[in-house]
Amino acid sequence: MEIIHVESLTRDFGSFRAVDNLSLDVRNGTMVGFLGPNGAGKTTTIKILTNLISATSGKAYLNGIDVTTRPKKALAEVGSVVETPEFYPYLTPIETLTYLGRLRGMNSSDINRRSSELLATVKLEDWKDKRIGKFSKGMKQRLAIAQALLHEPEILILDEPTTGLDPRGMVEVREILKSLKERGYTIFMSSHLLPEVQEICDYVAMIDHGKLILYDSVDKLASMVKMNIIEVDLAEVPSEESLNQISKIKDVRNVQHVVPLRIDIEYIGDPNLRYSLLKELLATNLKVISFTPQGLALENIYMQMIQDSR
Amino acid sequence: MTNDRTIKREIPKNLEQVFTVTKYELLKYLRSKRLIGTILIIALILSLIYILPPALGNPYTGEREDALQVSLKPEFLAFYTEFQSYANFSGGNLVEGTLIITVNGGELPSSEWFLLEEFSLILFEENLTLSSVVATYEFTTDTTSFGLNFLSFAEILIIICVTFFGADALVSEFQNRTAYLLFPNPIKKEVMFVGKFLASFIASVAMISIYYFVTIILSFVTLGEVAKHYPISFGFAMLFLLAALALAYFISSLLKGSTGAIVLTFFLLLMILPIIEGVGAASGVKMGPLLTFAGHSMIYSLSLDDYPADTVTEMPGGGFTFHQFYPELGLSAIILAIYAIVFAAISIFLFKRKELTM
Repeated sequence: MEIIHVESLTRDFGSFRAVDNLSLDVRNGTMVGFLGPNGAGKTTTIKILTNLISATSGKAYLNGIDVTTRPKKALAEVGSVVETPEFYPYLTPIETLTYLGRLRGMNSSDINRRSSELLATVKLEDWKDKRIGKFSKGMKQRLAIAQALLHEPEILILDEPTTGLDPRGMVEVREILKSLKERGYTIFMSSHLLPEVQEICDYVAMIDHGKLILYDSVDKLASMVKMNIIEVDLAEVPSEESLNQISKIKDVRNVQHVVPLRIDIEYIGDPNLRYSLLKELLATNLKVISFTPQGLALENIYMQMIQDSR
Repeated sequence: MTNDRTIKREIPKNLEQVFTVTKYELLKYLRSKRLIGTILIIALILSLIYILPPALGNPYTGEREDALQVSLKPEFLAFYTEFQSYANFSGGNLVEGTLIITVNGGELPSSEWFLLEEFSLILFEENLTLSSVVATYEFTTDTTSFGLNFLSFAEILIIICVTFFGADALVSEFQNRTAYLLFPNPIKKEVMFVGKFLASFIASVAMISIYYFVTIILSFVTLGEVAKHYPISFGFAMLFLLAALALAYFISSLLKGSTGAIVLTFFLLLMILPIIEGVGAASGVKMGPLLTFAGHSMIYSLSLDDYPADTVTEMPGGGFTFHQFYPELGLSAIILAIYAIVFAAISIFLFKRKELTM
């Protein structure tokens, strides 16, 4: 069942088309990473899904309800973090969650229970009665995640949820997202952090110039990767002959002598073939001290897809 | 995959959400410097209006002695055959039964003089032109005049409230990016609008009520009585508040910055519209449909029993004519109601269309 259904969605800003005939389905209980370069149309799509802006044409359904025509009903089971929202500085986290909880139909005991749980989860329990006006950007981002989860919605729509967080905060949010995924939330999340997406998402949707250029499972994309680069650090400078030998190894496309003690080997093939490549390298009598795949499958695909679409 | 964790909840009805928004908007005002600022302004203005006239030599009540310039009775008073001389006597706010006339230090019996109130004259049976004549009397400010002094500022207070509590109510959500928090909730924008408008209205009504209440108390304490048409004046004040607030929300839904909205609202209501009124008066045109002109009805309705009529004054020598216009109460009520409805409707329309593109 598609819990998010986007159909021929288009949004123009004057003569600029930010989202171009975008169609996308997200199945219930899955986590989709929404990727694309700056200005690709990610945030515009998310803003349409959360009724912050309207679509020029097309439809967007949440739980089968068109958000462009019936936003109140469509957003009833949605929690969202769009950009870095600002909070009312005169309210405390508890008051903010109570306000939003009331608007979402929660009763007092529900609000109290969930507020305590969530403020503990996002590590703001010591700040629950302090006015938000004094909070840092990272604290606000954590509170934003807490408010999105407050009413235990079916759908979470997150726009770069780890923006503004320090490395520890990013790890914590990633852990929260992983646990939500395990609990069956449907999560649609835009991000620039490809390792994060590869680690926690089931599917990846890639967008550029407002058009969907790729939509598939992370596993399938990883297995589709044909191009791999291996960074090899050496104990001594390789000879020309050794480099020639390496370039003749099966599936090796290119060898770059980057610095005296390092070479990059570009090869075509399954990542699982790395072992045989390493064996052959050692056979050339090179003094290999490290052998590291460069980047992630998703990064490689991203770079390739975005380059192709430009 | 099914999600067994989700708790289905009933979305609150629109009216419940209106009250929720109103409650938290009021909390904003309660914790803001604007509310404290408004209360301080009220305290300052009430003190100044109340204290300054006596401090400058014009007490509200007291006893006065006026030396009278007595002349022989002129022709137009020939009808009063038993009197020989007269004196002009303005005797402002005379308390009835307190006038005593003394001639050369001795009291003149009341049977020997007569107060002709409609002409502000005192007639004397004897020829007192060569005597020293003094009128001693108690005076008190009449309750309507007392109230009018205070209500002229109540109109400005409404403009201040509208500016503080309404001018940036909508635009601040966009400028401060709090809309990213509020708008993706299951709530209609018109519900947000009504909730915010209600909060602005309640906060303003509280301030204006304090002002009226203190004015009435001061009138009672000072004069021992209160003008009877305060409720009508307050009714017009509420109508003016609604209309001005709707205009402020219209500006707030139109502009992109809080400062611009606040400045435009304040100057439009306090300067630009009154300037148009003034130009109209100078040209002999009654600006009846103008919001601020209709708003003056909250002041003049206090003197409902003696409602001022439009006047035309020829300035001596120059051929310049000065017009003084007063709003017609019934028409003003209709005009203010139309402003409130039309501007509120346009504001809702614009607010619904306003997008978070920044």
